[in-house]
Amino acid sequence: MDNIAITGLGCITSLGPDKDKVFDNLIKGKNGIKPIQSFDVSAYAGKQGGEVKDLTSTPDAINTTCPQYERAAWLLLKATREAIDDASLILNQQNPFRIALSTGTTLGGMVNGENYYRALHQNDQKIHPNQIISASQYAPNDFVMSELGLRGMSLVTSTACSASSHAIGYALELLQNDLADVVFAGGFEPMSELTFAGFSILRSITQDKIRPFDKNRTGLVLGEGAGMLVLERESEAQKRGARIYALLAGYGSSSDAYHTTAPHKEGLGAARAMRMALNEAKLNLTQVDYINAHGTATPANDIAETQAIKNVFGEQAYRIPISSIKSMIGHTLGAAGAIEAVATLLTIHNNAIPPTINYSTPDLACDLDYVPNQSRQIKVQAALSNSFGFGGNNAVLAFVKPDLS
Amino acid sequence: MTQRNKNIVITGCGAVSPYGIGIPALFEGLKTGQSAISLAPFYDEESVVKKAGYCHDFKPELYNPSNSFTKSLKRLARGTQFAIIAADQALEAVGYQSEENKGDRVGIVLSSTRTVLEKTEQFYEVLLDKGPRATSPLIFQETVNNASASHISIKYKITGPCITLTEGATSAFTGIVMASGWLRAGKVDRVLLLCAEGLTTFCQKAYNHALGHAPVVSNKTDNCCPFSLERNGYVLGEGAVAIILETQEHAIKHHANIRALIAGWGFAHDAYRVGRCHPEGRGLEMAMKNAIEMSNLSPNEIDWIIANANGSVVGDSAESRAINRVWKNDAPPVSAIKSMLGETEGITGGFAMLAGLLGMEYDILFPTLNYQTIDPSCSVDCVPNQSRIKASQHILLNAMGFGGTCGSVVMTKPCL
Repeated sequence: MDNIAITGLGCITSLGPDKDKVFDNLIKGKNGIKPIQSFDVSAYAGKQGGEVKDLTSTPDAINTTCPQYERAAWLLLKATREAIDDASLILNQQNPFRIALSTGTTLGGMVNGENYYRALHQNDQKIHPNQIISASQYAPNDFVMSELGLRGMSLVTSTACSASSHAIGYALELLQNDLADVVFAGGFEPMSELTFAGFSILRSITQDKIRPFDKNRTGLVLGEGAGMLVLERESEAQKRGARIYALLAGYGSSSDAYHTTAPHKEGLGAARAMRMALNEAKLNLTQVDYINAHGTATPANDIAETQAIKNVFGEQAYRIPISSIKSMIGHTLGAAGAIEAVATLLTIHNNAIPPTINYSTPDLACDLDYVPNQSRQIKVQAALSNSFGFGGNNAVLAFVKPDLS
Repeated sequence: MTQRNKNIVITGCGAVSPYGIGIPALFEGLKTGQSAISLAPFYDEESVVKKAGYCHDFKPELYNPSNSFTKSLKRLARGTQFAIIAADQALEAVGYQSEENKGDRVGIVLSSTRTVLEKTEQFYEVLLDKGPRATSPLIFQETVNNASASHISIKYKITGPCITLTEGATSAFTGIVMASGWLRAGKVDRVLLLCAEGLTTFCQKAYNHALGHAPVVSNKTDNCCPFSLERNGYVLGEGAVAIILETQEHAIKHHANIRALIAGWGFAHDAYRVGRCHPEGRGLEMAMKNAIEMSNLSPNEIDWIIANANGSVVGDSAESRAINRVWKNDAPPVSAIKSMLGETEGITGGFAMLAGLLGMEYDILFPTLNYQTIDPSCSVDCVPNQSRIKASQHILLNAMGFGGTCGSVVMTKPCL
């Protein structure tokens, strides 16, 4: 089986319009969460979120690049273009039929869908058909495929919070079974009132700060953005002299079969997914240097995730630094897997672990090392990235430096 | 590498279609060339399109009258209810018992595009009318695309890998690729491949507004007549299909009834314009070629093609042209089952696989309905209006998404 390498990264979040800006701010422990501007939050208890700067409801940037498309498509295109550049990949030197795009999202083009629905509701006759065409789950992908002239497979995964981790895991399948030579795998999620209202009424959104693993945590805040990875077979990457961030060595996937929103209390499904990823990556428990947590700061997730990590790692759980970047950019839903994969890969690349910020009071039930408030410079050669979605859908990715034996 | 050579087979299946609940009802409808497209209750007077492949008189109690069963389906979106009933049939067909705790050896792949729109609309309506505090958390949790998969995993204690693909018509086929990866790597012993869609008022309005600007929606004849010169667009369909996939080795070992082999697949994107398919079907041409090549076959070994064709003016001719290029104008019969079921998006691949395996089992080609006048740009033998007796060994299935995704799968009749 070929090793699969990551050769390019792209990212846009509330902490910056590109991956280096984003990671730099993550390491500095910057807070990307601010009062939400893209819709009226006066009727909501929690009013904060991680919006991408300079991207209000009808941004000029979108109108110039892709007038009929909206936030989501633009976020995806931006991150994809950055990743392609970062990989030093010249598209017109590639066979376009052998390039695939695999993304995860919850909303797809639903921001346009919301606008459409509002217009319907107000009996507004000025409805542009492109609003509907662009509102589907798959329109942003099709848009990027067409803009970049990509002719291979296009896949969209929608398993809520774990979506883009699955989308990245899918790249393993495509590359190892010769269905593609290059895969752009990632995710995107716009800020939207639909999801904001939903998480609000589920009482998942905190009115305080987002404090993963903290004793006084009361929930999450939402974020938006996009993350993108360029994946190729290691042998091909080496042939063209590409810089390799790490190998995607393992992908674990499982279902809790427990509840439609709450995670299994002991995190058994999550543990299973972590084990699958570790086994596939052939990693010993002692070799894992970092875990990028799902860490949503809901009372339920953080304890279940902690239990799951202890279940898998035993005593080693106390050694491994664990952090949640959701503390800084919020929960980016369908994009979380990809954005957090980018952060994990840059962690490996820079040997620098981003912190879990807003951490004040330890929780006896969550007693592991969550890298509180300050980043840490240590050698990271192998890491896991966890994403646990609604309905108990678990996805774990294992990244390993190529020279790790 | 032996693992890579493990053939993928279909061993169990279930369906909910406008013909009714179950495979026999579907088979009867397709075989007799009965259209499942009819006046749909949610289309209002102003609607230009009034028909759909609607599951009239659908009631969960028709499948299982027990209180606990019907109660468990009550709050769920229409498409999710269909999915659960289809899954139940398929799991029963392979003798899956959730009490045996083998759920971690089963994976789920769900293909679904608009199933949750019903719930999204319900949620959003309250948000706009009454404000955020009046919205329902129970409805919100049903707006997640993988809700159907989530409910099924809970109901049947299935804890293996689970993924939901939403890229449209090709999802069932890309789902097969994922499933085969899990099966060949030994991560699971079986995969439940689910396809489900439900029809709602929102869908109707949305497609209505896309009218005239997306040249694929019916606005003259309200008959769905793929390949015919009279064709003027598609009508929507709904339902669910559940298919159990296993490796051939596993199926034989467990004495499972092998319904068909999946011999190969191929994919390509038009990269033309969003919402439009390439008029020459350039993406589909590549997809078909790749699928045939992966199956180690040549085009002349394909006995029957089940088309994506749905009555779209551009789409049907694009598909026909692509077929004629691949087969050098000597193509096998091409059936447009969407003439009977409607445009079922995420279920495209599911209904195609069921129609394909039934056709191979019973030596029958299903018809393309409402065929009237030959269109020179669709010069294929479309099995017009009536089923035909013919034995098929290898068949090709096509799927084309609205935004340019194209996929093809080759299925082979199992040897006895």
